[in-house]
Amino acid sequence: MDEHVSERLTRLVAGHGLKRRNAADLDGVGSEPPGEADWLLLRSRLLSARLTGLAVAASAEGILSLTQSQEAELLEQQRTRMARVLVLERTLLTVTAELERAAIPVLALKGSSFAHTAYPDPSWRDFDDVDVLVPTNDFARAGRVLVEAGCNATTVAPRPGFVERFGKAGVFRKDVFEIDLHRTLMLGPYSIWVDAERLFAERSTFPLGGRIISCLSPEHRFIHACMHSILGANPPLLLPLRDAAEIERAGDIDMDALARDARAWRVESVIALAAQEVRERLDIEPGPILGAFDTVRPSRLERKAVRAYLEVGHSGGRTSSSMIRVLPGVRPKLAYLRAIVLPDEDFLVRHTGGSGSKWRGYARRWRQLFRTFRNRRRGV
Amino acid sequence: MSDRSRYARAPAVLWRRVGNEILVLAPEAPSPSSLSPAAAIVWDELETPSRLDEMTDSLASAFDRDPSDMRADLEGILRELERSGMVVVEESVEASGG
Repeated sequence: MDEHVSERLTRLVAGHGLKRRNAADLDGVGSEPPGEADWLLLRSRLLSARLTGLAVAASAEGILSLTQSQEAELLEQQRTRMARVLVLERTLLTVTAELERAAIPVLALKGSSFAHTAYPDPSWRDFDDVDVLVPTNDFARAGRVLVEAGCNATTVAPRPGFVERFGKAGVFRKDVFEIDLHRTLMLGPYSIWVDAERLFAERSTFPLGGRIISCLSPEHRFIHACMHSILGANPPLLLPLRDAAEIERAGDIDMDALARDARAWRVESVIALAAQEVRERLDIEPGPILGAFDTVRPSRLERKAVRAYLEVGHSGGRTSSSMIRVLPGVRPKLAYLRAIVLPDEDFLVRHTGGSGSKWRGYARRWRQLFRTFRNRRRGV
Repeated sequence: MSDRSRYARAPAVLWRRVGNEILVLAPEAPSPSSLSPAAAIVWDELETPSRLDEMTDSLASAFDRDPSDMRADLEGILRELERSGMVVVEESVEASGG
């Protein structure tokens, strides 16, 4: 089995249908069906990268050669994924209806909104949960609405009100599905820099299941996709990179509005990094919008913040220290620090293990924080 | 079935294409299901709402079939899709062919 074969085939699939750069390492890739061992690895990679729909399209167009049985397995995998996606879309309809009934403005994020607004065929965009954004002022009430609608809250905040002040989202479960209730797009400094009010003021919509669902504007969808791809994981995941390329291809972006918010929210370097990753990992020539950010010169603060997200194996601890740096005023910094250093017992139990006394829990927590801080200073 | 009726995909139905298959989830259905191959062809034809005679002509020509046979088959499929809530019928106020 050759891991490189399945890795290259996955990249070929991830860039399918977009303008290729024809990188030498993808020459001839996909012209012959993979052997059995490579196929098993490829199938697993496609599933975990949520690229089965693009693989079906690449196979139908002869870009990805498969044997008959491999093709049948791929279709079966895609059928299972899309059945799940349809039930998630029904969950999105229920969740948005419940929140709107409570007069809480709500925007659909990622998944269904990207599938229906950016991709030429929504079956190319797989997703695994429901993401919605509500205003910070309504966040706690929105959580109660979801619980009343039969969802279970699965996250515990370090202190009451922490997520509303400093966090990104609360996680809920309905049946076997996860619902992420966001109040902002990213954890850490970007939770402060991104103007969530503007996200609501410039919202867009798409039809789903006989209803009109609100979502981010094309410019904000593009920024979110770039942030998710670059700041969400290192190395970046292929699907969010594809999202950024697809949102640009959909052709609805107002460059002036994008440039204005990218500068104000300090995401120019994030978009530049997304352009670079689209080029290198998807083997796609970035479009003029992604490419326009190639030459940006980010500020020192922006560079430091982005680096905290990019550090290999980055954790909440690393974005936490950036967060302290960018929080405006002494009182918010102290409140944040207090929540991180002296969280509630429920949080301690969840995050450091349930055994021993409260003070043992704190000791474990402080050791974790110390290790993170020390590694950061050493540049580990 | 009236020639003036216009058939359309029910807006509340969620769906995805999987290869040549159409996977659908109607509002009251417990779980997604696949349309039959013939119903999937009709579903594709309903990308824009259409009258029975328009679909008959289009599909009879595409599949090189006798229009009256095609019409009979289509009526059966549309009736089934309508019964299961996948398709809605809009009574057209325009005169047929107008």
